[in-house]
Amino acid sequence: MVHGSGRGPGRAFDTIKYKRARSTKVLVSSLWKYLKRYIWPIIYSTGFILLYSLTSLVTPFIAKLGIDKVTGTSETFSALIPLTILFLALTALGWVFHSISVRIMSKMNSKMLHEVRMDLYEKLSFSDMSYLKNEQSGNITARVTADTGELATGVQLSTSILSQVLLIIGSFILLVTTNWIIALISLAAIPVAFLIAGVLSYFGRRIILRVRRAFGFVSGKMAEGLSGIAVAKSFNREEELSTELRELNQKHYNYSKQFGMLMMFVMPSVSALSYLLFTMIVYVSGWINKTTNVLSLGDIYLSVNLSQQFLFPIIMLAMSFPQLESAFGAMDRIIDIFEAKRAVSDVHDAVNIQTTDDSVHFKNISFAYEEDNYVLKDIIFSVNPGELVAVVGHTGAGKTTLFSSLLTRFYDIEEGTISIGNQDIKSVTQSSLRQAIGLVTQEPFLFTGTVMENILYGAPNATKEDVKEICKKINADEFIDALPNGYDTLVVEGGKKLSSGQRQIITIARTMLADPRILVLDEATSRLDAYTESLVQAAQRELFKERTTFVIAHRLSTISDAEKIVVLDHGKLVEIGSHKELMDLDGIYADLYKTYYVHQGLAEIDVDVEDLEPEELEEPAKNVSPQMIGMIKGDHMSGKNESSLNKEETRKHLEKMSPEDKQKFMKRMKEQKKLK
Amino acid sequence: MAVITDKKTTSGYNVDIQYELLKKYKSANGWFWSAFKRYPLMYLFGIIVFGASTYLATKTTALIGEALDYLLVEGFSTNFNKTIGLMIIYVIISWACLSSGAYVWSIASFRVQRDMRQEFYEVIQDHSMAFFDVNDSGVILSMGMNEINQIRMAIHPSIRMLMTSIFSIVITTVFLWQYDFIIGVTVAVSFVVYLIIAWIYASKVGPIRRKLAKDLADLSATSQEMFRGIDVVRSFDNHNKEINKFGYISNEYALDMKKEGYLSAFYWPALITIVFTAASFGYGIWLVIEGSFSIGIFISVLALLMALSRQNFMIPMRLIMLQAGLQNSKRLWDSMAFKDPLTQPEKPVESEWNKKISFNNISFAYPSTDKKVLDNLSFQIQAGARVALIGGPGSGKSTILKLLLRLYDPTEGDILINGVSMSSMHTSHVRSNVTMVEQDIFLFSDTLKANISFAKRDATDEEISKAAERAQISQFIESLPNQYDTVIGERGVTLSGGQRQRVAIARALLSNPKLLLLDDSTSAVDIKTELRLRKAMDELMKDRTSIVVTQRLTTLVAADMIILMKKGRIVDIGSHTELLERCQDYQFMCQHLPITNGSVASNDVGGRN
Ligand SMILES: Nc1ncnc2c1ncn2[C@@H]1O[C@H](COP(=O)(O)OP(=O)(O)O)[C@@H](O)[C@H]1O
Ligand SMILES: Nc1ncnc2c1ncn2[C@@H]1O[C@H](COP(=O)(O)OP(=O)(O)O)[C@@H](O)[C@H]1O
Ligand SMILES: [Mg+2]
Ligand SMILES: [Mg+2]
Repeated sequence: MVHGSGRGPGRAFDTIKYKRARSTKVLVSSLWKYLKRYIWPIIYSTGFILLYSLTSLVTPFIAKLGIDKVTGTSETFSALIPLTILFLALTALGWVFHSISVRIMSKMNSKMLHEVRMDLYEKLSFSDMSYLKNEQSGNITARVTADTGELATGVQLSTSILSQVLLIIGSFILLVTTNWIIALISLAAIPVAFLIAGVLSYFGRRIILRVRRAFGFVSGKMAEGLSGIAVAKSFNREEELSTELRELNQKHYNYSKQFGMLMMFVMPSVSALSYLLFTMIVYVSGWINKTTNVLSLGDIYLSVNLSQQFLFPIIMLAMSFPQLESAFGAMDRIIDIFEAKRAVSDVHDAVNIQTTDDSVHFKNISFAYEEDNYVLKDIIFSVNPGELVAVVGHTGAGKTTLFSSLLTRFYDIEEGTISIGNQDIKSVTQSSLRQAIGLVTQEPFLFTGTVMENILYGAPNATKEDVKEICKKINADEFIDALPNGYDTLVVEGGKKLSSGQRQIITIARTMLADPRILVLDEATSRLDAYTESLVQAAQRELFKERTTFVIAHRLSTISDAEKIVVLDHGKLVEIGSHKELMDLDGIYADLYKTYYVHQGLAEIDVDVEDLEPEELEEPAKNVSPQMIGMIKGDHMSGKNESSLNKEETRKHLEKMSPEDKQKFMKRMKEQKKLK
Repeated sequence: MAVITDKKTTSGYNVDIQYELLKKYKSANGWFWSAFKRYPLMYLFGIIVFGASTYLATKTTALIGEALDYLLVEGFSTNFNKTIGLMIIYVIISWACLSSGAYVWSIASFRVQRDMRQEFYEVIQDHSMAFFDVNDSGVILSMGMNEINQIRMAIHPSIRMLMTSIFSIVITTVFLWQYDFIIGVTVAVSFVVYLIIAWIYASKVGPIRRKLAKDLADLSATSQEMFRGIDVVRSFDNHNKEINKFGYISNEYALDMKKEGYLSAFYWPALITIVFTAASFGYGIWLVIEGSFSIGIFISVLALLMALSRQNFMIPMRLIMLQAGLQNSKRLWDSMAFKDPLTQPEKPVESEWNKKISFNNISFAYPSTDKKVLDNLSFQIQAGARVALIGGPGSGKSTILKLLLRLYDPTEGDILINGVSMSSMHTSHVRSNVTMVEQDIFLFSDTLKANISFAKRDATDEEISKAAERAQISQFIESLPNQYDTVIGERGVTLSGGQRQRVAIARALLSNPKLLLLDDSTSAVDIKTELRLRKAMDELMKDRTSIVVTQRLTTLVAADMIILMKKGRIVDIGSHTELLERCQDYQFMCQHLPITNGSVASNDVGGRN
């Protein structure tokens, strides 16, 4: 029986020809590290498998004895009773040995699987942000579920291979001792068996890949139809969607037909081979007896029996090679993860962050996610303890990068330093740093669980009363009370029954409850109505009065009363100062303020839409529920490149917009103002 | 192909797919076994051919003894050679039968799989939102994909192999019967016992298998959630909590895996065949000594028994798969037979949507909950009016819009469109007159063209680009390398929130509804987006009745009627100026909207309290 395979996501991997980075020897020796812990179970299990193979070899021999005894000679039946009992005892014993071995093995295997999974999961959860962000969560999950499962299958397979090899060798030796010609004939079956297995794995791999891909398309279509069900209904589009599904479904069927053809060849051929083999043996035995008459009927029976016992393990063996290979592939990927060095790790003498000074200093920071593609350039500024800092800038200016990713040390900066107080954030433990900083991310993310559990996520020791108090302050209690079960309402599928505003406000409550020393709100109120937003702000000002706070926002009321406003533009810090200072400066901020912020309310905006800077593409926001990603995976592996390709081209296009154009745009806006 | 759609009833609407399905198959079992009714000839061919091939294979085995008897008595004679020749011919014919049968059977089963999948999807898709609210879409997806596969696997290969096994048991029994009555009867009886025990055994292993599958699904879900939310996990320094959560499930999986291993280790039905084979061995020897068996027959008997016991390990696996298939079809059937609270009227009526709309004492709780999220609402909307809905999160604004699309029926009260109750209309009539632009825009991962023309598949390119232009998105689209053929979403480029919103507006423009519903609770976006959105929305609201959930002061001021909601109730209804004058809640809200130019008393650029 094969455990852990064929279920869950990530199975598409095993059909892709995988180039390993390590030799089998290296892999086995790494695996040995795990297997060593189970040395005794392995020895016992192997021992019992050996015994089992032995009984399988001896039983046909008993049958042969029986046949020989009754041929010709006049035995009494009572003389043969012991033989019958022996026959029974041996087969029963074989069963017992086999069972014990499987039992030991499955205990060991399940334990090992659990341990590998845990080690891998732990390693992955602390691994680099760049790796985790660039891989799809479904792919990472496939490492933990599918690859480990495959590994376990491989281990199990190895023991069964052992017993098969034993059976093959044992049967062959017995065959040779019975009659060498028959043994040779049996040998002829080996290439045929391997041929069948080869055809299966060669064509099978291709066909299965095609079938899987088609399956992925059907699955993707269905997933999409289900998540977009409300839209389909709103537009009366159900019929079209089912027609589209039907076409893909038909394609999947067409490939499945090929699979049926393959099966038609393989399975019947194996059984025909076995019948032909024993027919041949009977025939040859007759022919041998014609000339020499050395073979008894018992011998012939034994040969027939042994030939079967010889053939089936060979077929099994031939078929298990691809599986074994994919287990090695899985192991290779697993080892990759184990051996990966973390880019962001605590220095050996890391200390906890000090608790007295909340000033933050950015010194000459430049940063690129990908080689030389700088998203931040030469950022220098300082923030005094307790200051409220507002950050403005267009989408893609680098706001999230600077405050959500670098300040929290999700990524390490190569150039420049960030310090809190007088400590470089690289010199303190990540754990203490992150406890000090509270981050409300741009995408509201909720965990499966109750609303209460979600809010308690960052402050497990807080009481329910604390939660309710915070929620009251930010006006969240009003809608939480309106939920079917209030605070005990389950958040499912990332919160599909909540509006995005509701999701966002829960994430704010979560961070506020955690009570960090330094707060970062990354467009944290963008999905709230102005009224609720103002309550959140009031609460934030009250609760974080003396603490350093960074607010990335677009709304005027949030920005203008900050002590410091930081204006980022294309990765550069272009202006910094209080609202008044920046207005006096009459630069970019003043422009923005005059054309946009002032008009955020009622007035007509007198800028022609055509005059605006062309829009850009944003970073992917993940909106699909985790399960769905798992299901639709498969076919999306290719999709990733496609998307980045398109983005690349768009980026090029956007680069055509020179700084001059941008200045022109600004000027034009000013002129229009004057005309008024 | 299976399916039932495309048919129209006399009223001009599509037939009720669910009703047709329930009528046709009656029960989960009916649905499952309908597989054989769908392609009866193919399956019949399979059955006949498998019978033939099993017969020939068994015959070949039985001939061993005959050949050996010839050998013993006549030596390497013509009779011996003839028997061998016969065996080879049998093997070849049997091979041909088995191949063609397997092929036809598998094709028929893949067809069944295709048809059932399509059927499932169409029926599920036809359920109202009440179904989708309580069912996890990942689970439904896995039903439609994996569980349908398992149903197919129950038919092919499981039922096929079980059938072959039963054929070989029956045929072997008949052969043995001819040799010796007692052996024949014993084989027959013990295999019946064996099958029963194997079935019981399979029923024990089956649930563990299913539990394992569930464990693995949980494991993936937990892991995916953690990696998707890694920013959050990391920023709260909560790795250990997540690792423990994973560890708990992983441990559960390991325990279940061990349990399954233990059960399959001691596969005790095998003991029956062991005891029985040994007994036949002894009995056969006795018969030979007695003289009623020739040696050849004895060998044939042994060979036949050996062949049978090879089925040993196949049968339980097939039984487990069959059980899983039956259970899955039960689950799928239950989902398909969901009792929908929203039903189509027997005799649907139609109404004029560009007339007055009235809400009469509407109360509403989402199906499967009893919390009233709308409480006794009454109001009227005049033809062509611009209505603005305002209120805090969770006050019920979006719910009102959903009722107007007839995604749900009100729990109490009636919504009248020009005097006609909405619940007496067919949903497709409602939805061809009403269009909603939701808050969280859903776009299909398809080309922009396909997304915009979603509501009107026969739209010309000009119509599409016109709509895009009016929605202020054409400039952006035309800057993309593939323009309208750009694929978006999972498989393509990602759009920002504002861009998605405008694509949805273009989509709505093309559908040209009589009543427009717009859910626009998001308001703070960067300047470019804000400007474009405003213009796009103005275009969209032109010349039709519209109901807009909004925070935009411009929209509020321009509205003919503002409905202010709080916790599912109406606080007040009136125009901007009326509400400013008399409604405290409204004044309070307006104070927090960014307002300049003195249109409201309190200018709150500072926004400080
Ligand atoms: N994980 C990432 N990998 C590569 N590039 C990224 C990543 N995250 C953001 N970027 C790029 O960095 C730039 C700045 O992004 P971001 O900091 O999110 O800007 P903002 O928050 O101001 O909108 C953008 O061009 C974006 O595409
Ligand atoms: N599908 C649903 N099932 C159960 N409850 C829901 C569902 N959708 C919304 N709700 C609940 O109904 C209430 C009103 O929601 P909604 O109309 O979306 O509010 P609004 O649009 O005013 O923010 C909220 O408490 C919300 O959680
Ligand atoms: Mg950002
Ligand atoms: Mg809403």
